[in-house]
Amino acid sequence: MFRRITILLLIIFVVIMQTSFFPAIFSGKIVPDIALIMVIIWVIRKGFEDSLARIVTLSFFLDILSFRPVGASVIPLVLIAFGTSSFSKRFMMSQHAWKLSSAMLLVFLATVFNSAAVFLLSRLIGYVSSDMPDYLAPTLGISIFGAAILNVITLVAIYFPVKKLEKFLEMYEFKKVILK
Amino acid sequence: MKHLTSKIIKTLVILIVGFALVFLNPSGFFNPLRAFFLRAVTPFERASHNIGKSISGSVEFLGSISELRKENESLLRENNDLNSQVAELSSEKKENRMLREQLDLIPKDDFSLVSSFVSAQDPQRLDSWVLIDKGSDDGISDGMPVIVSSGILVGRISEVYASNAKVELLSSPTSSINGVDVATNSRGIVRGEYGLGLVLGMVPQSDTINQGDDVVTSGLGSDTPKGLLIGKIKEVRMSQDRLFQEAIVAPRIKYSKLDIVFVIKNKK
Repeated sequence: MFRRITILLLIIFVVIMQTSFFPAIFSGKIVPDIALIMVIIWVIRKGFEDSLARIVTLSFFLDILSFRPVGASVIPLVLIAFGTSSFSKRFMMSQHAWKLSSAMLLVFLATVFNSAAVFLLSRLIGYVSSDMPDYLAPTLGISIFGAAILNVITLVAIYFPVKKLEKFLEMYEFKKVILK
Repeated sequence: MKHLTSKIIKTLVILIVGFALVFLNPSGFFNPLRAFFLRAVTPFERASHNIGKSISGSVEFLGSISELRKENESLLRENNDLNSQVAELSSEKKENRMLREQLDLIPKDDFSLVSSFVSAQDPQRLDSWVLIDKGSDDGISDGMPVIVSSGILVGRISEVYASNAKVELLSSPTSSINGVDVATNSRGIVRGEYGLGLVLGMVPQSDTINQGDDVVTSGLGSDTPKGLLIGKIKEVRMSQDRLFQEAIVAPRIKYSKLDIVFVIKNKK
């Protein structure tokens, strides 16, 4: 129970960071996507199936507080989780040395994928008009590349604190089982 | 193999439910839930937004220390110039008031304003919105224009909850508002450019729009009053279909730096 509440609070904290703290700090076009980073860290550490409930909850809160139609975030994030899980299995990411560097590569690729997916989805549901002028494409491209770099830097900053928190929660549950 | 199949099935089920929710979009179904969560997290969002702003301000301050001396000197010079301009402007103020009355523009003192804090911003680049901490409880409703203290229009209310409201910024791709070039009186539609700026479009070829002219709201077709400043024309070019002229409009303020905004409820 304690673990679930902590995870729920962590998810709400991540969403608040995503919608108010980071846009205020960066006050520009590029803002780190901490939700996407958390999804990748969770899948690498806990696997696809064990992270699914967290990803769905995170997406739900993200859509609610970002004024997007509910379900809009779950589509790219679950696809990213699926891809991350397949990648980690294939490249034996159980080795510690590889975990962070592979996560960095995954975050970079996932940011590009997520931006494209969100853009396509927004077009499909009429959230963004389909007549985007051609001259905006390079600017958007540069900003996606910048966001990918920023996300990689953010991953390096939060990877170990998140890992520590997960370990603490695992230890807590383990102790509780032993005491029972 | 069994594990992989279960993974694929779970992914597919979530995707189908996700697409169904997005495309069927049960209008208003999640709104009570959204209003509840917004009410619950607004104090935290506001605090976190303020912390973010102060960190951003401190970083900017540290970065600009070397320039402060130079800036101080130029400010002193500017101050002297401004003192002489003040005397000039006091007589122009009277004239301005008279001209505004003739043009039917509304001075900002004539609005009934509701001040509010920005508590959250759009984390994506495609859309462009801010969340304010006032809502229907404070008399705010859909479509009301939102300005900053100096009478500059920043957007309009697009969704209202009990204690919050979503402001669609002018830079949003779905935003469009009637604008007019103050100097030449050429009319057009100001629309957002995916959070990248504003464009005054649909200006007939026969009209004149000049670089450096101010663009204000024309008051046509919406509840937005006439004469609210939108921005300054940065560049004039032909539209992609070459049927109209269009101008890139530089907003007078950075929308990403909004802190306190005012909602225009009505004219006094």
